[in-house]
Amino acid sequence: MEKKNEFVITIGFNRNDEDHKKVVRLLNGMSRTKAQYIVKAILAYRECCKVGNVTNVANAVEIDYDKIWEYIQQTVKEYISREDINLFINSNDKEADETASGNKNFGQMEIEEDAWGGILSSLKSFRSG
Amino acid sequence: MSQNIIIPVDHGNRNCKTLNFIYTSALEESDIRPPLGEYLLYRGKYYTLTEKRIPYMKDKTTDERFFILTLFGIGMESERQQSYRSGELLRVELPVGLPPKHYGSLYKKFEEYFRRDEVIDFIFRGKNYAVYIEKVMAFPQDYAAAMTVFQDIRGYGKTVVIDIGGFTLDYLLIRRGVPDLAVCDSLEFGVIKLYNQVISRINSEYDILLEEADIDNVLRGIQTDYPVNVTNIIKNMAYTFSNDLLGTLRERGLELKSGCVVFVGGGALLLREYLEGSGKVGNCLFLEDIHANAKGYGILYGLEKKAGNTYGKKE
Repeated sequence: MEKKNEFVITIGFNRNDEDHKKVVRLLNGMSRTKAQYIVKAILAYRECCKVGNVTNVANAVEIDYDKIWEYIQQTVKEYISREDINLFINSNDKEADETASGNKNFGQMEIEEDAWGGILSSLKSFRSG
Repeated sequence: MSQNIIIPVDHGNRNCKTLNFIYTSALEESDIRPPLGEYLLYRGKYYTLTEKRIPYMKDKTTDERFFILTLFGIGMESERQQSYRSGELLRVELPVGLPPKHYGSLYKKFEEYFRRDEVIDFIFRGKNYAVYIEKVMAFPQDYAAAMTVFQDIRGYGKTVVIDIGGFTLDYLLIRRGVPDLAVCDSLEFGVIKLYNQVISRINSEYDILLEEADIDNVLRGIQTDYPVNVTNIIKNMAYTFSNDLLGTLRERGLELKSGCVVFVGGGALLLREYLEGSGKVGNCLFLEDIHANAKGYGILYGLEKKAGNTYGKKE
């Protein structure tokens, strides 16, 4: 049977293989950038094969992604604590976002939770009015 | 790979403001590359920012100029916020704003104006941009600016936000944090009206052709080369203009001596001395930050996002 859409591929990973598990974690941590990442990785791998440097890719130095993730989170938190609204609204880091929300901390301003409802309903009335 | 960025833009009649930049709402289009200055290349045309303002437009969606001005803002902000990556798609969420009076009738059109069903390619400062505007959400100006001082005003029973811009003066009454949509309007009482009055009078009485920047300098107390007679006339006319402006608001039933008055906009900062000295205003705050509306759009957009509202999302 002919494939319905040749640009859509379903891949099954081996849940018992540590390498596979690592890759799954990595891919699941991405949003819509998975395809591009895979494309670049495969092309890089092929390129390395061509020049006989494939071992550098296959046996690449062990990367502790959890550690890197921690570093990134720490850096983002420090950055946010220094900056104002500009950074708050552009932060796509979920945890940082939740922290800000939990503290009702909008950079240099604070809005209590009870005021949120009023503001949101005001915006709604603008849109419906 | 792609980068995400939220870029609030305040499209003023006189200036466009982002969180970090302010530039005149003025564009020059050309088929050939400008010899000087920075340009933006979009659909085969070269655009440069100029000082020659676009005439007042209540509806800014009638041509592409405000869209292209927005591309300038996207270029500047993505560079500033280090979101630009060569060869990567830039996915932009765009909180924007409209005067409260015109909000209801124009917000859908305004949001639609910025939504494009395509990746927008342009060159700015020599860099190739591929931008996809993912979400657009319009917010009421002034209410947005008030959000930046929410803690200061929420204790007041009544707060009047007065935004004095280039062409218009917009006002909005907020009662205990909730806007009263019956008490808002947009009047053609911006500082350009004052500029025109001053330029016309000085021209006819002294045969001197003033520029707007000269008037700004006089009102800001900066030394100029003009005779004292001329500078005194400018100051007197600013005093009269400010009094007339407050009188007009009074005629409309706005009580400015009680509650809190929040002045927003470049025009308010320019006339601050005269507004404060008029004796017609009680407790007042001047939002010195010319980016207050843009910041407010960012704050409100953040709230809407947290609440899960997706009005501005592409369908």
